[in-house]
Amino acid sequence: MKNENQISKLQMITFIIQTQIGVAFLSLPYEIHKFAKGDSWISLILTGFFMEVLVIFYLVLCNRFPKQHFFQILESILGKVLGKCFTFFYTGYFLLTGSTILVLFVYILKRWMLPYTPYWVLLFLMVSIGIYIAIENLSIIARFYFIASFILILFIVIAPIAFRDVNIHYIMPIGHSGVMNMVKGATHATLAWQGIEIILLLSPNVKATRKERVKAVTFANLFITLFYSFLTFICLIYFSKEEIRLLPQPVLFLLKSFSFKIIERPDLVLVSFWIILVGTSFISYLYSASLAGAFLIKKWTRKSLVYLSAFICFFFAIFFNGENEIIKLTKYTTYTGLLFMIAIPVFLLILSLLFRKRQKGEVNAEND
Amino acid sequence: MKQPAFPNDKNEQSTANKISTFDTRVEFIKSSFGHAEDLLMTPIIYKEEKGVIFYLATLSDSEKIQNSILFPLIKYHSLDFGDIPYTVGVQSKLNLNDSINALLQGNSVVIIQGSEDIFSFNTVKDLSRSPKEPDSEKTVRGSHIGFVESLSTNLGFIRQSIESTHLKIIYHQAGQYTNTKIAIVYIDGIANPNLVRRVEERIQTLFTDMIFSPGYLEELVEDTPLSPFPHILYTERPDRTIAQLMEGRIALMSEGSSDVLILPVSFFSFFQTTDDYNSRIITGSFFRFLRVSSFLISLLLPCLYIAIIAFHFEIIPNEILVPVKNSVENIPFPPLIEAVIMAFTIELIREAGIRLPTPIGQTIGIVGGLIIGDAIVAAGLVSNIMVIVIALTAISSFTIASYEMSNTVRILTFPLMVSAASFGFVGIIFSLMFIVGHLCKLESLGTPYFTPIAPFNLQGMKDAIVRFPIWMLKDRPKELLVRNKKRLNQPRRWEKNEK
Repeated sequence: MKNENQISKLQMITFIIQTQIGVAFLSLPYEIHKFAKGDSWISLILTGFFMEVLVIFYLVLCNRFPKQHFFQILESILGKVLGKCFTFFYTGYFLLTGSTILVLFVYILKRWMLPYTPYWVLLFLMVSIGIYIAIENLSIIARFYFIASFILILFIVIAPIAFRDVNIHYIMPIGHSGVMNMVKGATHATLAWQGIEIILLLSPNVKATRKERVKAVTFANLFITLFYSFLTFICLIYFSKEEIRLLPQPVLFLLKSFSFKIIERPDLVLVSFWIILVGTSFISYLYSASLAGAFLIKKWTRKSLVYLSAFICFFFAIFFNGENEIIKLTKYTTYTGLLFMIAIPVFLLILSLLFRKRQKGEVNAEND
Repeated sequence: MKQPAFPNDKNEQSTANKISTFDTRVEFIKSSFGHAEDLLMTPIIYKEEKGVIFYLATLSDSEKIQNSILFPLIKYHSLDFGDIPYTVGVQSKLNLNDSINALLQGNSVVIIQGSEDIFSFNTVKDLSRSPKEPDSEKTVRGSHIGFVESLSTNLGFIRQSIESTHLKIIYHQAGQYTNTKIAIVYIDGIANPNLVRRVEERIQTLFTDMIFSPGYLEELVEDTPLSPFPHILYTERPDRTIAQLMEGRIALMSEGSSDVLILPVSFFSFFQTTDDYNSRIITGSFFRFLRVSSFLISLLLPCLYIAIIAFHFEIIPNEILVPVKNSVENIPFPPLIEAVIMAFTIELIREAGIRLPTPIGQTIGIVGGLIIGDAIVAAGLVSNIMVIVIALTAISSFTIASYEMSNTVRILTFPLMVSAASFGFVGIIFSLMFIVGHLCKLESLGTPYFTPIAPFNLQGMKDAIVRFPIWMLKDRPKELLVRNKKRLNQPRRWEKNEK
């Protein structure tokens, strides 16, 4: 049924936010600090601006094909064979990102909470919840994401406690690291925005007018940008330059330094909640990969492809989990992310504008 | 005596000119009740003319009809209802609308061919079999009446409270041998007709030998029987049933059961009680909040304790660390075993308490609660704190308004405890994700179960975790897709007038 598959504006916003906020944000200040130093938060705002432009491009592209999802758009613009090829690449990209999420997730979890639990058990837990939710239709996934979004509030409320002892001089003078470094930091921050391409897949299933979509997507992007830069800003003024270089997950170290009357180590609680945020990102990638797969192999149902995708991610994550491999994997994912998230959609938009391609006939998207 | 047969061929021919008015009147009454199936008509012969007695079988006493209408008619052939008020409560010269009201109150209405007069007789059934307050749903304020085991009496309670022709009752029979009467009750003009149709279809396609309890019916009718969460609300309270009907839900009643099944319901319906609306706004909200949080407490407390003791000792602040350590130190078992022993004991006491007659049940409570609890700590098998934790869990699970939901919670604590014992907080979070995911998936008759949280609905939140003032609950629940969305039009209108 088509109707059951539609999501509201609010659900779209939470869907986008939940897909984007995942593994990366815990180590975001550390990663960007390598380049932009005390101006990392400006870098993030820059990335936010850039992503806003990208998002508008996405919407322009989607509006030209209002009832098709991304893989159908690929086919309409590039033709059948090339379209299928690209869909195949996208499937690979989604699986790669999904696996990266898994690998990083278990890596951080093992370091912070469960050093003795076997690697594959944690993987298995994550994969099984991924399957459990991702086989459902879009509206149910969106319901789950909405509930998961309450966790973000927790982070936003707890992080400002750091203001008790911060040193604003750590980020002074503003702009000291130079424009080039800020831009460099901004490009490296794109990994944190990865997942924004979900807009292309959701677009035909959102119950909203064009204007409302722009608003919803802008709101989601604004939220993400502010959320990231807020957390990064707090980390920057809390830890000194030398400290932050040693802390790969500054957000968690920040939380670890707090203590309350009833909870001595809030970071343990928040890492647990962070699992949900990772889970939602992983579910999104499973969903995307299975959707792409179902478009490639028409005979298979999306449900069975969810199992297949989860299986592939699981095995990938089992074999690539060394320290060096994780560094490599993150690098690859960032670069392929740039390609699949930015280059190809923009390229598609230019093509469709040049050749005046629009949706022909009533080819409806059938996400389920 | 000659049995009054209807329609009589001779009469039909001789009074052909008046048939239309008589028939239209009969038809009018029938159609104003929407051809309700509990509206019965008995043909009579009155002064050589045919007539008909209308009455609602659910509200009228057939013995009274026999005594006050039929016997006099048979005895005195020239009896005139209008002349002599020969029985209590005869009203004559009613118009059609009055007669419908009279019927709704339980009176019998007599319509006679060739006569403009409509008579009504007081034949209200004495709804006795002393209905008492249901044990499982006690309230402090409000009505203290409960359903009984007779379907028609129960329907009578509802008819009594909703004096409207919009109240619709559809009878079905199920069970090949028992032929149990099942009534689908809803309010026409409020309930979504699609939902009614779906319920009717499900009832019609029941092919079983018997329907012996509401649980039977529930399992055969509901969407996901294997889910731990109940999606049909049981109630023994007429006032609660009426409130649910007025929200646009459907009630399923069956003969021989004092429980009414309400569907479709959402998760938060199980936390509402009549008391919430009978107490003041702030207290009512507080009680509702207490009940919702008791769900979380009983779900999470034992597993959090296990996770902290087994995995995350560092999370306890120093001040509490010492008493916890002292209590746990000499216990031979891991916390999971401790918790399972205690939780299982509590379940045993509960089950024993239900099965035994009340005085013995209390003894069991004392033996179980006090003696076992005290001795098990003294023996050093279970820690003090674990006893506190499990006792708190049990108490908060019993706070939940619905018996089914409180059982659900206690069942769910077991897998949560196991996952907490194997993975600590991580295990709890994963289990919670499964539970919440399951709640998001559940649908009761096509309406989302976990609304108003997911899908989010701000209007619905007014009556979920806290209770907003009644004048602010203007709309009926959105997820039911009711036909008449507004519940209150101008509540507290007097405020404007008094200004």
